[in-house]
Amino acid sequence: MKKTVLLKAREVTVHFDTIDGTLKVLNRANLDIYEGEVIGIVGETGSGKSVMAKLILGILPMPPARVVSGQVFFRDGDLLKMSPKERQVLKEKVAYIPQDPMTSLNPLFPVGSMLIDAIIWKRSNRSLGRYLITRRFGPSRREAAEQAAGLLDKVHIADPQDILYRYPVQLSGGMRQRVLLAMALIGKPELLVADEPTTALDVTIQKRILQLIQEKVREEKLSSLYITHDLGVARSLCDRIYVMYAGTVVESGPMGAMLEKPLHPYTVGLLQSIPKLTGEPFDGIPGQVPDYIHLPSGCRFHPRCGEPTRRCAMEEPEILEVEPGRFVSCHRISSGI
Amino acid sequence: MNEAAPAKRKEGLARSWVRFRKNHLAMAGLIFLIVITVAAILAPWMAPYPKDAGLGVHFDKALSPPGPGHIFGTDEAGRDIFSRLLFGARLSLMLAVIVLGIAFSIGVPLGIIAGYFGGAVDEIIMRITDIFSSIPALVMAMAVCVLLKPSLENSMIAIALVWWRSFCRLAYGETLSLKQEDFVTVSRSLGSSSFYIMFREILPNMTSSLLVKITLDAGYAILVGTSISYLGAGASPPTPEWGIMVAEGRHYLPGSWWPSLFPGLAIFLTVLSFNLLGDGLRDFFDVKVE
Amino acid sequence: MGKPLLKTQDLCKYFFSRKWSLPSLQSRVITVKAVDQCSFELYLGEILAIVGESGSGKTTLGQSIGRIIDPTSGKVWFDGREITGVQGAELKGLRREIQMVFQDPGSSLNPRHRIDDIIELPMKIHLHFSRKERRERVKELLTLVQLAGELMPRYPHALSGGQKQRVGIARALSLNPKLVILDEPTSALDVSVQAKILHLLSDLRDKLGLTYILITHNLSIVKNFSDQIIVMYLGRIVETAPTALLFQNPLHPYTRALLSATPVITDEERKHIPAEITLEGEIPSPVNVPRTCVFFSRCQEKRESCAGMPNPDLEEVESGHWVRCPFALHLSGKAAA
Repeated sequence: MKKTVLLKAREVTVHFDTIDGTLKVLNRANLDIYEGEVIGIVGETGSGKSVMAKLILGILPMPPARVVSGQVFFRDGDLLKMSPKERQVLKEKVAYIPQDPMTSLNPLFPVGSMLIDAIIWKRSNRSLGRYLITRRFGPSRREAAEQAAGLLDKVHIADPQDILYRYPVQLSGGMRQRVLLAMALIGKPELLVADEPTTALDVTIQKRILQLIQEKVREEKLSSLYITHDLGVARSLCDRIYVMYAGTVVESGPMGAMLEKPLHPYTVGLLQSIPKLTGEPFDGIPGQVPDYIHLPSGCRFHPRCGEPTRRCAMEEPEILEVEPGRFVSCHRISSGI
Repeated sequence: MNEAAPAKRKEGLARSWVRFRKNHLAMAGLIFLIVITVAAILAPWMAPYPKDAGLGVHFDKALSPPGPGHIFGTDEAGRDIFSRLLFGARLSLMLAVIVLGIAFSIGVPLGIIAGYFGGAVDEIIMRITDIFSSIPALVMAMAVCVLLKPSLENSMIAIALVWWRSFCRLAYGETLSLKQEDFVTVSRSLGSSSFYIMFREILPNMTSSLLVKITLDAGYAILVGTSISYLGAGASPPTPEWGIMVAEGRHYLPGSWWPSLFPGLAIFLTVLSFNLLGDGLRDFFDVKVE
Repeated sequence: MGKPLLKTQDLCKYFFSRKWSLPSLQSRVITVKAVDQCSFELYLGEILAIVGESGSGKTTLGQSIGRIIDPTSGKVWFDGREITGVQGAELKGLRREIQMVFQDPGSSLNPRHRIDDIIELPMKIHLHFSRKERRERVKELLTLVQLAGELMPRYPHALSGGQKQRVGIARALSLNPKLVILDEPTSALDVSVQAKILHLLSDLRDKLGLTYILITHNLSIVKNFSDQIIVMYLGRIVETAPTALLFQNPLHPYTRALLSATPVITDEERKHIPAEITLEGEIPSPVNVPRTCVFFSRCQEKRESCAGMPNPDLEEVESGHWVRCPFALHLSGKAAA
């Protein structure tokens, strides 16, 4: 069954111009998202995963960021080459759940008013006038309030009517994250981008929220791009993952295969660093993440790699499809096979 | 395997300087202030008519417009305005240094003590500060001046008495937030004395805001000082203080505009430079925090 | 085995605040029972893990033992002597023996102090070393935590997260303590660095004969790096056992839920998780701890009798394994079936 491509990023390279120099953050990254899939981008701090997500969402601050090359196709249009107006239309199809529920909601407004405003805005078809008029008065506001309560119910918030009047500060982290999820579902998006939405939550709450996200993604037939540093979380949610290191996609493939048989030395090292309930030894990866101004030559991972070849320090590896759907960016693997 | 720190970027001062240089307005302010400071220090040697800053009078040359020999002209007693401005710079800058020095030395420790200990100490200190805060600086300074006897030294004392309150407030606020930081908890748990924590752990972390405040306040202090003298409660003739120079020259406006204009311009540019420098410093430190 | 190094009995830490209600101008005292009736023993050379989520009181318990805050009631013995109310010089002496490593290496190091100043501070306060002797010791400590001596004159912002945490550890070791309390020492670090720090801590324990209290929410780490575990919920110990026993036979419903929520990456690990449990509801706040079993509101195994029953006592169900739930054994039987 041939799936339709929803998002296709090719050779995306993004640099940041700062006072200290040029940060070569994203390096020829590729990404594919098909309809109905949950894709994960897994990486540690500074891997560039958030930059990738923000680029897709169109919220990357353009100075200092600069797209050096590459394309990001959402359905047929190249996001990077569109006019702001066209982008606006597309933005409606992509929803975003940000990282920290504690700071992502405006503390000055009750939760309900934010939801209602968003609903009315969507309905006004981006006409400022219509929005301003219907915002305060009339049946539209009441309908919107009902819809808001319905959304809160959808994300399994008990007593939605009461919550509509609460301020964010009165809600717990888990509740706020549910509200953010509800907001993301307004307007029937096609792609849900979630940037580490459960990192700040306790484990038992995290489990509930992850289940909820999974449920909604299936119900609403969304595709989802999930950014995380936790492979365990990715395992429970994602169909396919991309592993990023220092701005490069080092390996990608189906979730199960990636975990069972990781290929790239970084992926191997990462998996091995995680303490496991089975009690196996866990080691960590020596060295530290490079800073984006003074990047190693050639393969960005080679100084930390257990078995670098001579080529690794000299040229960047190309991406190779070692099996259908499985991509690796490593000299040793490309030459060894 | 020993780990060395990440590759040294153009570390520390050098890098900070490069970044600061990019703010052209702040640099302009800095340059002007350097010029004025140098001029003030070298006044006795730079001034073409040093005696005019004191008792020298030349009524024959009274109110000569700017021209050869007198770049800024002469005032009603025939004194060279340019020379007097240079000596006036000394007075104004000295005022800024002394006033801020006193205010800082009183206000900052009090603010830190109040913020750190809280409770009764906090209440007492901050209420006293509140009392001082309820009176505008200029009015208070004038009142003190008039009470003590109008003179330049007394105006400096008066301004300092009024100025310490805002330093106290700033230090208080910073202390309240800094004392929650983990490194303070750690220090306390190790058994550091309160004195150590207040002045060796907390104080160093507020230097950037203090520096910005001092710079911006320097300009304002000079403004207050010259205003007090302008109003007659500060320096008295023949002191070449910018404020009284403007006051004296006032009678000859608009025909002979130079006795008032140049001192006024000097005040304006000096205060502006402090403001630009202060703003630049504030932006500079803000980015660093991020 | 001999006597325990650390023993607590009914340790409590309550926070009191007064709440005024206008306009009646009456006030109520609000008691936050952060830690309630905690008793345990810790032997020399052991690692005791205190596990829980937000509001469990684990950090407060650690801080009470480390005397960062003072307990409200209960008794504490250290190295054979009672240290419950010590003040002054005795307290100062105690600080040399019990040290703490904090969670966020970024904020536990004063950004305006140099690394060598940071590490030698405890020595300056407690020991009468000359400056030269202190410097020597700092160098020794840096080597011990595998950091280069060149870092001595640098400032914290020049260091990576892992390096900062090593500095924190070096500082804690400078007085040769017997007991080190580690408050989530790796939560703020990336996975690949986490493993290295845990290995370092393990090596240091062997080399220096240290005893650890490890405060964390991560059961995977606990499985691999602890001898004894205490599970806390809303200020109370709900289960405690030697590590192997706890993972073999987790009994309290909360422990089982926590285990179930732990993200794992292999199928093998899945087998170590007893059952699929997703808790609903929010973690209650320790402001109004119910008189019934603390876990009652979210427990999925509750019986009718639980509603009326006062907080159950800890009972020993097998050697060294204590649970605060009268139905625990029934549950374990149920799951095993």
